[in-house]
Formats: sequence, C-alpha cells, structure tokens
Amino acid sequence: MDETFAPDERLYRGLHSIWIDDDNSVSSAAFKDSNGVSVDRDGGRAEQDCIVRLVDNLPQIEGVGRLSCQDVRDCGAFPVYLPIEDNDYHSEIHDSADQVQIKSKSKSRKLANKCQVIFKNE
Amino acid sequence: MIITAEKLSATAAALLGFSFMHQSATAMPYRIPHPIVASESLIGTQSASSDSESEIDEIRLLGEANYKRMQEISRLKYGWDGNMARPIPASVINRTKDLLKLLPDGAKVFPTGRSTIQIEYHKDADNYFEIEISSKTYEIYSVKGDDEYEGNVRKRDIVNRVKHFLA
Repeated sequence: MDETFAPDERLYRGLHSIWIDDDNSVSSAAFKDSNGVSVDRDGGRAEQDCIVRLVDNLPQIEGVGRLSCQDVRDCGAFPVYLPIEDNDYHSEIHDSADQVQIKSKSKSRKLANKCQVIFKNE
Repeated sequence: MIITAEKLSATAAALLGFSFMHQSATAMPYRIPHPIVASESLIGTQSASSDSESEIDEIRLLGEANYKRMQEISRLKYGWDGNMARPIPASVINRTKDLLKLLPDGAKVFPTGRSTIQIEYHKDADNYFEIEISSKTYEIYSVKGDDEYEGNVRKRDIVNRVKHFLA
C-alpha cells in the first residue's frame, strides 16, 4: 500500500460508546491517546468493508467515526501509515512528524469536530 | 469482632437481645460473664447501611448521570478503547469526583486513552469549556467566540472559570 495518503483518503476511528454523545457528536477525549490515535485507512476498500473489519476486530468499540486525511491535516495533525501484523490498514494520527501524542487540546477538539459517526451499535 | 459489655451501646445491646438494668452514671455497668461475639450479619448490616448512605450522598452531589458515568469509567479495563488504553487510575477518578461536586450542572464526563478524565461544558459550537484531570494536574481549554485559552490551572480557580464561562 502507498506510504502516503491522498487528501481524500478516509480514515476510520473505532469509538467506544462512552465517547459518543446523545447527538452523535464525538468527544475530543477520543483523540487523546499517549500511543497515538489508532485508525484504519480505507486503502481503496468500500466503506462497508472498513466498518465491518473494525467492528469485528475490536469488540470493545461500539461506533465508527470517519474523517479524511485532508481533515486531519487541516486540524494541524499528521496521519502516519503504520501497518501491524494482523492489520495492513492500520494507521495513526500523530501530533506532527516528530511527535506522536497530540498534546494540544485545540487540535484534539478540531479532530473530534471533523469526525463523523457513521456507525453506532445500538 | 469482640464487643465487651462496657463498650456495648444500649442500641447495639438491644439489637443483640440484651437490656440494661440501670442507666445512671453511677450505676454498676451491666456485666455479662463472657464477651459477646457480634454476628457477621449485624456487622454487615451496619456497613451496608453506611455504604448506601454514602452512595446516596454521592448521587446527590454528582448528579445521577455523572454518578453512573463515573461508575462506568471506574470499570474500564486494560484495552477498553480497542487499543492499549489503561484503566483510569483511582486517583484520577477521585480527583474528578471531588471536582464535579463543586461544579455547576451541565458537566459531561469522558475518559481518555492517556489515563485522564475530561469534563466538558458545551454552550454551542463556538463556546466550549474543557477540564482535563490527570493524577497531578488540572488543565483547561476554553473557546469563547474568538478567544481561546489552554493551560494549567489550580483546582481552586476552576469553579470560577466555569461560572465565568457559563455566565
């Protein structure tokens, strides 16, 4: 898979139900992770396939949020392709090219505002 | 647990089926030949009663929704976010509860994947206030129109800042 992301490539974030508010907005808490914010890139797959894979692989999550790579860059964050053993699509959103954890609360909130809940297990 | 007659209050004695012959200060204390071993069920009843009182107090002070939310947060286990998030430390949970008890209504509470808890107030898209609580710090982030602020604060300043935001 290409190491770089096209601006319109979609990133899918597995969301614990505790992060999704009643109006389907996402708390910026979902974008505060000391290990970087894990996402799956679409990698040319249909959206349904991306959702099914995330939900099947992560039983703890009950929702899926979507944002584009351009959204991430617009928020001042940095998408990184980091495939892992059982997931070729695994990527992370970092603070910058040099810093993993997003420490800026403003950045986390902007990402949360861009994140659209597209699946919720109710 | 061993209770001697000297330590036994009238109420407890009554519960255990004894009664005092004399109540005056000069009267000989009621004596029984052997120490009473209080039953576990009695101790359990007293403890359960005080537990439920403190629970009721906590629900009243936190509000029912945030009480439930804090219970939920305290039950999160390793990997709760689908990745490597750790359980939220008890110190962070307690600091959050202590703060929530002081804050105005309307707070929403969320755990993060970096062992912190954040409290949010939303007025509308342009007016937002957030407090992130770690085991050592309180950090706030506020957006009020075009004004944005992010930084550490002392606990004693938080309530006024929230009130100012909500005003």
